[in-house]
Amino acid sequence: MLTSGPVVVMQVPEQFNAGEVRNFMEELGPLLESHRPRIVLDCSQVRSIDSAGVEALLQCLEETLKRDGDLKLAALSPESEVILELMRVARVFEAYPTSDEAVRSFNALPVDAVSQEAPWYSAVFGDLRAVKEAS
Amino acid sequence: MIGAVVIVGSSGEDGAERLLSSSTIQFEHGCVACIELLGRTVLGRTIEELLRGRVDSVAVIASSPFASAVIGHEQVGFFAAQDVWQKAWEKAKGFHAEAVIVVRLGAYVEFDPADLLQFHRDQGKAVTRAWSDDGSLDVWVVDPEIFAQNNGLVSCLGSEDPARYLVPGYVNRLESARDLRQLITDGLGARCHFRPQGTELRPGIWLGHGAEVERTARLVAPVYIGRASKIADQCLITRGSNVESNAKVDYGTVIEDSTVLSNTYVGIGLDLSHSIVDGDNLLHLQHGVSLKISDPVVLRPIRDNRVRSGVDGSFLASLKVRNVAMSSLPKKGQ
Repeated sequence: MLTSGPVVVMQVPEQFNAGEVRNFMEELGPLLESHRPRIVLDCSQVRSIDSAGVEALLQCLEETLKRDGDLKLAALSPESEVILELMRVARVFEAYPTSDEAVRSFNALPVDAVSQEAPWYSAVFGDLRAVKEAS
Repeated sequence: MIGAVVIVGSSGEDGAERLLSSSTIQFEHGCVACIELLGRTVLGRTIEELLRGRVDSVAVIASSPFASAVIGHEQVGFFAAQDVWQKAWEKAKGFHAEAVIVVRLGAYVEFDPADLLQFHRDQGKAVTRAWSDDGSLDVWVVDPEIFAQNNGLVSCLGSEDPARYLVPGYVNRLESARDLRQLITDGLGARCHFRPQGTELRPGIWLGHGAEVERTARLVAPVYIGRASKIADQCLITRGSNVESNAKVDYGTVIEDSTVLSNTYVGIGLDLSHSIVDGDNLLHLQHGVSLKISDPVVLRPIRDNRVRSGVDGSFLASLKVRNVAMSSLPKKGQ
């Protein structure tokens, strides 16, 4: 497992199928349970992926999102892209051509850098509150 | 008497590759001419046109036995041979006809045999070859007199500068998977005579005999659903897609701009677009990727309860989509 600052880069096995998924999830498990996990799955070695593999990717994404983190894919082969599209999950993942770019994408928008500005609707409700108070 | 020799499969005689106008989509055991498309094979359609156009007898020479499944006519004989050109030569000589039409599949060429024969007679040459705007086609008319001066069909066809017959009709060279998809969309769009076999349920929506479409499945024209195929609930089939005979598309799957070949199962909740699938093989045209899906819940060949689809199921299952993108051989005269 490679780490790059707070972002963890992990290689996805060449045959990402039911047989490999268990080992992969065991290896990734502790990381998924950390606070705000930021994970890049490097798929450059993936040669085949089946429905169990896709399910594992979705499970990883779910776990990271639950903990306010994110999971991104890198170096997807055209074959893997076709599988993800076929199984309707391609749009769910952010994918980058390389692991470096995927890591940089985390740094470009750090998790802590969530806008502190008031949302757009606060102005409307703010006005309403003012009207209510005036009445 | 007019005879015709239809050659299916690879060349086997020296010089044949040089003579042929193009390569075609080659599969492990045959070529695209034997695959059912819009309910009928290119081979079957070609034979039908020949018989309709004053040809008295047709000999089909194929390197694989799968082509035999399309033959069901007393005027048509099927002959399997490893060296298809040698066998074709024997059959051409055996016709004792006034002229022999030689067709090598698999480009799909719409021509009127009667018009071609008349042109051949008018030109007074021993050999006439069909051409389209972009080069020569593998369709010839040969006078049997030149058989004696040659020792093979290939040398016969290439023995002299042939008369050029410009095909006025539709031509699809079927050199690539894109060509195959183009043929489907042209057929569904009535831009050629490659029409779907079945009933037009609503404009642009064709169903083969015994096709089952569940009530909540949506077919958005133009589409073709082949005979004995099944489309499950909540599916959407659209944008010129064809699901050939005895295929099954399972619950909620969307098929768009794609071809599902005969005896193929497409799993639940998938999004199949810009692709050709055959059994567990998938060719994605936009990504230019071919892959074998090892997961049977996604794609798999249907092996039982098979209908006669023009080709054997094992042929479909063994389709090598990797070979679909073929490099073209140089066209003669170019």
